[in-house]
Amino acid sequence: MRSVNAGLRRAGISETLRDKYDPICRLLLASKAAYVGVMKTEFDILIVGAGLAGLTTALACADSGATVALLDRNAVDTGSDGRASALSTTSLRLFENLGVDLKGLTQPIKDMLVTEGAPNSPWRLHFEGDGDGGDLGALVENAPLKAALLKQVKLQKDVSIFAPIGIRDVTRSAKNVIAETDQGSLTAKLLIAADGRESLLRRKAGITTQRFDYDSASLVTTIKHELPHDGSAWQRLIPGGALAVLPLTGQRSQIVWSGPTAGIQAATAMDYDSFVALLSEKMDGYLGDMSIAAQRQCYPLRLQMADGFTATRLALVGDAAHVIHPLAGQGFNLGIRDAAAIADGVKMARDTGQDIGVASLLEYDHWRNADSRSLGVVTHLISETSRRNFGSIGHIRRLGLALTNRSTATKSALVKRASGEARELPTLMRQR
Amino acid sequence: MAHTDNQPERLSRISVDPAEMASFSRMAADWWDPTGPFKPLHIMNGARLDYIKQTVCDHFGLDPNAERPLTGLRVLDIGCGGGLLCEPMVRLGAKVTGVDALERNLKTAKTHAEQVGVEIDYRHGTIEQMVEAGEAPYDVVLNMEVIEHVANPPEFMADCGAMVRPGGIMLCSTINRTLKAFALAIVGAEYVLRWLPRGTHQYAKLVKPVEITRWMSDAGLNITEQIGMSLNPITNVWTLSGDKSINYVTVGTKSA
Repeated sequence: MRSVNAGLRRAGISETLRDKYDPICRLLLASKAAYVGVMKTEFDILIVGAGLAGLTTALACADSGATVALLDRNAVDTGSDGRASALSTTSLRLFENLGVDLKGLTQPIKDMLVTEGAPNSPWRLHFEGDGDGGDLGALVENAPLKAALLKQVKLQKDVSIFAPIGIRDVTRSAKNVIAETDQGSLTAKLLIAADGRESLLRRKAGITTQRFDYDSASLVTTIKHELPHDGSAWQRLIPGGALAVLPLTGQRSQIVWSGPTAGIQAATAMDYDSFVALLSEKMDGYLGDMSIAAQRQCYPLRLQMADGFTATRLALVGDAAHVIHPLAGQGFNLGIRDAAAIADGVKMARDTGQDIGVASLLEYDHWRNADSRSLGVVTHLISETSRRNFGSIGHIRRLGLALTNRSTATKSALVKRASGEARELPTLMRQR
Repeated sequence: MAHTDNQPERLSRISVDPAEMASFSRMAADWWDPTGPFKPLHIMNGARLDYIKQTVCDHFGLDPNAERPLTGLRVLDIGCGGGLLCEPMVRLGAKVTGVDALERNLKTAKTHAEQVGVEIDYRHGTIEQMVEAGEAPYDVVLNMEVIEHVANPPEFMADCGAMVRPGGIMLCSTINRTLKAFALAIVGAEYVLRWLPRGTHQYAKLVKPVEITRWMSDAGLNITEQIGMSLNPITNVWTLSGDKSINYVTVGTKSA
């Protein structure tokens, strides 16, 4: 009966009506065919993948006035993602504009320090926020962020969630998009692939990718610590990688430790006490005594860029379009900008009576390409130099850090780039 | 006098033979591919449709933010091509007739409209033939990117004007006859960027704003606005501006 009720909700049948006609509905909905008959099957937009990017895109498109079907093979839950995202100020503004409640979930970043060696090392790059943490954004853990997004999506009358749902085939033509599912067929004008880095829809569309594997991985976990972090983020460049200590709410921080895969895998598998000892040594007493508050998870590092972001009636968003090195914490910010950009295209198409599946793609393809390519290259270069600890590149990097630290103009450009303020922004990322 | 070199013998409604459907369907795919041969029109479409909608709503006192703001209006699109303006006008609520002298264009447009489920009255013929046939005049006449292709612009404009009902409105867009327009719209778009086939525009046939103003006035229209449209080549965004040196739109209304 749970799925029947969900179906009625999707069909827009109210609580009271549902109760009143419950026995009739039961009868009516006895077979799957009848169930499909009740449910809405025509939408403006089909989004496949209900992860962070898919949920954000659904909200953004609904805000543009489109009707949306959000599909996922799996049930939408908040999952076991132990990672946190560094959200830029413009990303935070988008969530505010979309009514996503992040109260109590965000830890503003008040300052950011990149050093080679201990926090007091002379080889350093220091960024300060505007005192309120405004410039540098905030850390949010992915699991509660997803819960907040899902809550807001469920409040949208124009977004229908189909999950779990078996998707047999999706066809795109000059006419429309048709998804054949185990709950019947759904049609739309535009298909948005938010189905992750291994995107099946991207592969089916024949869109190739450029890919660079770093032979590196990141260990992610959360620590509780004795001393307050005061909203400071610290990134220490260490041989072959980097250790980032990012402030979370309360007396907690996220650890992102990147390096050669073998070493990172070993650290992930290590027993608790040895790991704490190793980590404490790397942190040089920063934040005092610590305990590990979450399971250690290991993620491979990769740069992957789709060779095109659109095809006939198809747009790629989030990791399906681009996976960047997590060094600068920019991955999900790009996905959020995808959502905002496509929402602008959808609104323009609707306002001018154009076909959503055609007109919205032109603008999207144009500026998303330029945007994520440039950011991908920058983070890749930073990462490449930080991998080479010894020799000339190490010295150049050190010199670069020290010089950059003195140059206010360069730093503010870097902060602007990282916070997404560098170029004209999509509507949802601006002050409303 | 004929307005085009390839004037059809008579005005007719368009129908597509099922046997021809496949080839017109391929041509429709070209017309409607935003990255295909008609990319410049697609890039321009959002901006010009927005301007058309706002201007028409202003003129008739309609709410541009309504779901289908142009409901109840009859619109004629002259030189409608593949229907890039016709279809959006229908979605905005209007009842639309598209006329074109090229049968190939119309069959393409008709095929596409049927594919996406939009109803448009497509006519094969010229505006002159519509006037001769005594067709009822329209609330809105769209005369977009056409006049620079016709053989006798003043007569063409007179016929277009005759299809505007008293109290109605015409929007006419074209390319200015300036060196800048020559450099960008002909050398740039046709030879450098290859956005348009070579020979799409001939310099001598481009039209100055004063000429458009005179011809529209002679056709019984009161000019209410003349505004430039320019493309930022970096962002691919069209904006309205005071700069009429390349593309510009002229609006004329007919006294009730």
